[in-house]
Amino acid sequence: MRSIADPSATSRFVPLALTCALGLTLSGCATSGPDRKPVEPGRIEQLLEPDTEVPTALRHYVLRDQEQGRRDRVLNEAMAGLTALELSQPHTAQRLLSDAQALIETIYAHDPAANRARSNFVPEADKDFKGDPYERAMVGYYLALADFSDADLDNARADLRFAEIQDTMSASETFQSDMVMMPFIRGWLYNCSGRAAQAKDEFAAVLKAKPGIKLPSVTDNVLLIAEVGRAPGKIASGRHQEELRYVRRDDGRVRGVTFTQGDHLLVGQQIEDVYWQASTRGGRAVDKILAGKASFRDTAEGIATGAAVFAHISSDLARNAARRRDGDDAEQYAGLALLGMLVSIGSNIVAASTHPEADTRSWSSLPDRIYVATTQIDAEAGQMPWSLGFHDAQGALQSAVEMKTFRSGACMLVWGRQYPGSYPSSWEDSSLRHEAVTRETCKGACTAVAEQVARDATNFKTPLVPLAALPEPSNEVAPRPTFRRRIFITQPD
Amino acid sequence: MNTNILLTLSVSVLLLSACSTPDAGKPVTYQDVHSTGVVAGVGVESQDVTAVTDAMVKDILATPEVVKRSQAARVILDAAYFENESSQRINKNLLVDRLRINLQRAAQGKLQFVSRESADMVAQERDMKRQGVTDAGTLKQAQATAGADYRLIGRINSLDARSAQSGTVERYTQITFELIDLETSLSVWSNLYEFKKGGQDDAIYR
Repeated sequence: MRSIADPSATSRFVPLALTCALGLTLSGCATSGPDRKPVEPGRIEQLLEPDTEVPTALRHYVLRDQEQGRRDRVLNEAMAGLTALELSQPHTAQRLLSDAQALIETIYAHDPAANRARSNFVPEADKDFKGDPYERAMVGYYLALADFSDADLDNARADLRFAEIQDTMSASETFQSDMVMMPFIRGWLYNCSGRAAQAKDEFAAVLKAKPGIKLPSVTDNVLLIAEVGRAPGKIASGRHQEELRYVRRDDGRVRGVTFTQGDHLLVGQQIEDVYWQASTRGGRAVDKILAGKASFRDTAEGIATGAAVFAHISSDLARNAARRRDGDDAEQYAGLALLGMLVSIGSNIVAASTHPEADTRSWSSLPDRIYVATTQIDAEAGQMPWSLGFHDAQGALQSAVEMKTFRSGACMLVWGRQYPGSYPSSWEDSSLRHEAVTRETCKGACTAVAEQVARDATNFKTPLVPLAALPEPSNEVAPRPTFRRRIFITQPD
Repeated sequence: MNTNILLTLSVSVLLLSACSTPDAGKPVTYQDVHSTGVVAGVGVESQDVTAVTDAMVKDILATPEVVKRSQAARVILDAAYFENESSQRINKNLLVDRLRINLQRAAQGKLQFVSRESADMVAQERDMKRQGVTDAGTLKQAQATAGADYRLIGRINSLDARSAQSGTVERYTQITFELIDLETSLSVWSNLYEFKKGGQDDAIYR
């Protein structure tokens, strides 16, 4: 019988065991990352105009969809749909966003991808992206803008109802269905369709949630929408990155907007805070799953550490027994040391293969805040372009862009954004023209903007100081004592 | 060393089970329009469109005021007055086109359908015939285009309920139909179709 008290035998066996463990690690976990393999490639390409060249701004999403497939389809379609709107292609946006909406509405029950994502060994980000409630709601909002180009506005209103329902997913009832932007736009759409009674109901819902909001007049046939700031961010925190947190990425330098057409100037009022919607969601069911994964990983790491200590002690005892020339004891202790080492290696592999990380994929081209204004203009004036100006809290103009116009019958939806959803930007600078109109109309200082900023701060409970983004928590994890390295290099002599 | 071999095998099995590969998708197949598809939500789906229109066709044909007249009634059946007040974006033509076509086929002349959607097209062609741009065609010229006796109106309504804790989603959908007498504005026929669907999303999406 071969004795491992023989130093040469032990020294041959330990590297062999290590090599096996390393081989197992490399071969076993080669595919444990997020599934990059497309299941149905090219869906976005199919949804674009078949006989026209794909616009440069959309090519990126076509390629990403081909590469990422179903896993990121909702995200890619949503971002591509927004880009199509920026390109003034509402029908393309309709196709992309309605497909994303259908995927969001699909009930994922007994779905293999969802089952996989619940496994301890697969990250949450492996699941098909459906987005957080605020992202799902924004799919409905942009789809409503795209559907505004249709002759009847039923679907645009349905999209906004869909958006509002997504917000009811908030765990805290206080924040359920508090996206006042949706009933506000829906009310204006009802007025456009000549249905004042329904519009009144919608506006009553707006006032109930935000009493300070100024409502449109029945005859207002133009709705101006301004999107300001950068999208809320998602970060993973916690020891194993298992906790999802939201951060405001916007610096809040722009706090007010104005809309100009010719010498006509309107001050916009804030109607939505997208970051607020993201951050008031409350606890998620999936958080419990991730916490369970993190706990599993902690346990595996604990076992690995304990087994490593056990192996280390056993190897010392084996070495001492070998020095005493006590072959039986040395063999037993060396066996125990090897057992401990293998348990430690196995547990470490299990711990390293456990993925409790929260899914931080997010719709990065969303705005931080949304502003609106309504007015009445005649058909002739409707042909003139609108400009959107961005102001600081004191009312000083920072920049301005040309707005996009969508028409439906006698009504007109005019839309502009501070940051482009994709590059190259399709928002033309109109700062000089806007500044001239602002200077002429405000005669020096636009106090109306500063006053509206103060009202917005009251309505949305945001301080007037810049909305400095919260510092991202450090991803570094405090080092914990580990004996892995020591046990790997310790061999009986 | 049996213990060590056992441990090594256990670790291997654990690793292999953890790192399973994703499915490779499924080829396209034809599916029954009356069946629940593989992608299911709580909204109106193909099986609902077929069920609701089939039910309405049967009910209209069983209404003597509409179909048992000495002269076939003329009906306008399009989406112009069919409203979607639900939370689901829907192409209303899916419902009214199927209803009109199936009704026309089943009515066997007991009902005539007036196409208001084609009014501009018809007027343009009639003008060309009367101006001599084209000949008169083979049909007898009519003094005027057809007037209608009845028009379909309807509404899709929905009521949504959702539990944030359990992830349960429910939607009650109600689709109403009415035929309105275009002289008296009396409603000569009405019916509704309603259904409620519920589902629970995977916990990973809650």
